[in-house]
Amino acid sequence: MENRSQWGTRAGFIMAAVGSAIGLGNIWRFPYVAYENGGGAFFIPYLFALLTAGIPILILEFTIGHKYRGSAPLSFFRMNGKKSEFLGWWGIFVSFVISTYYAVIIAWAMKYTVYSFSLKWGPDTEGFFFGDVLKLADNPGEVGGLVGGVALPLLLVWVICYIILIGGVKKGIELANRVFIPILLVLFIFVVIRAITLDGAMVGLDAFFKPDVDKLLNPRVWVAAYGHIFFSLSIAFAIMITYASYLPKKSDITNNAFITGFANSAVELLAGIGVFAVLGFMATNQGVDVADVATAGVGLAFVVFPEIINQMPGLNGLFGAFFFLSLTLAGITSLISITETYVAGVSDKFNISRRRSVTIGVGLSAAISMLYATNGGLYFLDVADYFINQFGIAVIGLVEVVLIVWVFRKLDVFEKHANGVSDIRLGWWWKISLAFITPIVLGTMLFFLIKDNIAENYEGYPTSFLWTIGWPVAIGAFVMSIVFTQLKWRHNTKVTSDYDEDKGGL
Amino acid sequence: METGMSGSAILMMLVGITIIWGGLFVSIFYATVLTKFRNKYKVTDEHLDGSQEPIHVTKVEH
Repeated sequence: MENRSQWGTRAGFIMAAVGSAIGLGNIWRFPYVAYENGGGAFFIPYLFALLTAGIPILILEFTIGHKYRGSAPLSFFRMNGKKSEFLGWWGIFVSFVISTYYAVIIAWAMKYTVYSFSLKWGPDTEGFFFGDVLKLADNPGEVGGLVGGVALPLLLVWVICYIILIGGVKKGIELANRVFIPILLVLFIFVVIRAITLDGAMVGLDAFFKPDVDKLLNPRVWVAAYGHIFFSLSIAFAIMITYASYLPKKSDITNNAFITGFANSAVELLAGIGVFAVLGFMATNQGVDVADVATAGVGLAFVVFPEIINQMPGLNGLFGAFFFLSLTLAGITSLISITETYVAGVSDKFNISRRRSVTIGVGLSAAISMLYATNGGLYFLDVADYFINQFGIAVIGLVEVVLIVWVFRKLDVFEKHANGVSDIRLGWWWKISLAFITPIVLGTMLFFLIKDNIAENYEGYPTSFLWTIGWPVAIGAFVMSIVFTQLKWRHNTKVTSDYDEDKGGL
Repeated sequence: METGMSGSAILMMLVGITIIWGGLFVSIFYATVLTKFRNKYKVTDEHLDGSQEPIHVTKVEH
């Protein structure tokens, strides 16, 4: 039997999976997506999406990792040889691209944690972020020089990531998550409590939760809910397969997926309450409507939040530090999981030590990520993020589910495997969700996506710029997956449709 | 401008919190209680490889 690293405890695995799922998107994306798509009424499609796509795919990926006991490419290779191996590499290359820019955002959050104590951003938060911090170039496509103020914390992020990953699964990833996740929750609860005690918080919460039931008739709202659940849960980019491959043989799969899925949503809900409470405070303070201040993403975190912190009656610095430290910790726990996918994949495929694989993987990502620390970095980041997320993860998810369910016909095998070790038994709902609901919704999502991108360029960027960075990263991830699939395994590994995990393959 | 939350907003907030946080607590409760239950009444070799939560009963009793 192979000697594969394992999680120390069940709680350790769950913490790591939750740490991966809880990322920047929970804090800065979910609140606005919910607000834009019906407010309180959004919870109906959101919960449907969680139970018919998010958790079923989590169970599927946990089962694949647990049954085949390998990194994503190795697990898929053991499933059906090279016909399916590319799925693992595809997810890994998407993860690789994401890790290069994700680290930069964590570096900004780290800087802002320190800035919070002195409110260094001053009254012009927008000018400070884009001018003083990023030294943003005037036009998309201009690279400019390296911005030292971003590059240095970025280097620190990669050093932290390296130290954690070099520690291995149990003493590195598990230990980091067992420390960071509780701290993150405590900090975030403080942020939310402070937020809801501000004047006008209820106005924000009313805007966030007030249901607009008419929106439920709009198919785009349902697609938005499924899209968000899909992106939020770290599914379809090799992470959950990799993490589940470190589970001991007799580990529950299904209930672990439920805990991970619900924990991720619980934090998102908390984030929605916190974010809209402070937006309500800001709107009330300025005498405008919440709609005028509601936003998401980088603008929300690094422009609007500092502005709100400026206006707070007390505990400004502490609130800011806690908020940005929460972002930093949520980001680091996710970055570790994203990076672990290619560390494990390269190590398995080329039969190299973990230490060497971590050094190569982190080193290469850190070097490439410096592109986003240049004057034109934000433009590159914005476009790479959009294309790799939308056209990478959504397409992989669709192809993965269709191949597993309809081409390789593995659902019965996986159901049996999951039921053999889990407290909760899978049944018809799991199969219907994966066989019909997920492919239909992901297909619809892609249809809208392609239609929108044909109608107009993303964010009005020049076509030449989108073809320089956007499409190449999305298409490149797929091309690289084919190239890596063609390379030979350096291990004497088995390819069999009835892979026996007791005998091992490596 | 409104100064508080409307009834429908409060209702949706409570529904969201109940289902999502309730779902989380039930899943954790299910996992912890069942694990304890299994450890107590169904001690098998699964405990010998240290694969699950630490057991709280003596294995030799079985």
